[in-house]
Amino acid sequence: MKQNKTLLIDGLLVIVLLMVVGYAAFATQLNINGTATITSNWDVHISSIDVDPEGTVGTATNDDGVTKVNEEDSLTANFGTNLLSPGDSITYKITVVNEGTLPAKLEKITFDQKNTGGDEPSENLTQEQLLTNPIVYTYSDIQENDVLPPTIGTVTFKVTVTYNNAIQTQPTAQQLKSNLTMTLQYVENKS
Amino acid sequence: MKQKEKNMVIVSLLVLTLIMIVGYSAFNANLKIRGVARVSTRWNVMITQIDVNKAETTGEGVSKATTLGESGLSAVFESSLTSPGDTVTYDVTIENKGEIEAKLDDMILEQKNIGTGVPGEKLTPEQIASNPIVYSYKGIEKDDVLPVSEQKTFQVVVQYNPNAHNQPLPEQMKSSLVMTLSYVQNVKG
Repeated sequence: MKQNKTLLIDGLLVIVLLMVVGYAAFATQLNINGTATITSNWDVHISSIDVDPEGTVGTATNDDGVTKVNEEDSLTANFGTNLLSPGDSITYKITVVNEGTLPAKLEKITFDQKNTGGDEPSENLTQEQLLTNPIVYTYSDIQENDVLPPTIGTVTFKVTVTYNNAIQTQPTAQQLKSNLTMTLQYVENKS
Repeated sequence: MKQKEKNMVIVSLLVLTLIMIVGYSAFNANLKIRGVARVSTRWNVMITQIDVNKAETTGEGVSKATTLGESGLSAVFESSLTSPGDTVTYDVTIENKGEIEAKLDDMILEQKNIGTGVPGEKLTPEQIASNPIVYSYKGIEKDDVLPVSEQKTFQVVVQYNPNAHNQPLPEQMKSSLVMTLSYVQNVKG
């Protein structure tokens, strides 16, 4: 009896030991390790702004000191123009490039003009006001939903500034200077 | 899972989320083109003077008044005539005070008899020839060029028609002239 008890205890001990080991083995932690890397590059910017040699009319002149692409980020281009007589105009050619690896789409164009001569600038001019405004800005060769393919995508469009030929009287002080802000909103083309 | 491992998983997820946010933000570029244009010239053609030319005023013709409008865009004269043949001559000076060369694009003369207080119809050239009061001009013509900073003086003559033999009709006793000079920018070529 004594021997049997001993065997029983030993057996139970073994079983318990196995259970402990087994339990310990069944609680092994599995680790999943992952690494994510962004391999694409988003890079849409303005590469140049130049006077269109065939787009200058009359005695309009370009301000070389003003007309250039912002060197810091290439997201802004500026130009400056002097107009002398009604009918004068200058056309600028602006190039936008997609040097990234993602296709881009021109989602929205905004084109705002204000008269800024004199003491008080105007509000954004309405379409009706633009018809009779002495200085008129227009653009061509670009429209919303234009796509720029990755790496090689390029678009050159035009912005023209004109001294309104219909003007018959001296412009007001406010009208002697007019500012344009044209914004091109590019997004990733996912279609 | 131990606390340390839990923390590692949370940190990893946070890093992944941050990368995704940065990635989404970079895919939206706003390009701006800003332009400034200035009109650097002035257009200013105006009447600067109107005077009686006494040397060329004849008979009993008398100038009663001359007035220059404030903006220089108009000039007014008033004359009195007594006998057929009387004349009053006015020297009118126009100056280009702007920075753009100008050209006389059009010239319109409109004469009406207003003796009754109610203006009549515009007189035709034939009617003017026999009208008691006759207006004429000299020293200016269509397409005359007015360079910058230069003046042009021409003459307007009002005459009691020397061929008038009868007392004029009431409506003919007073006659008005409106002379309109349309200057435009002289575009060469």
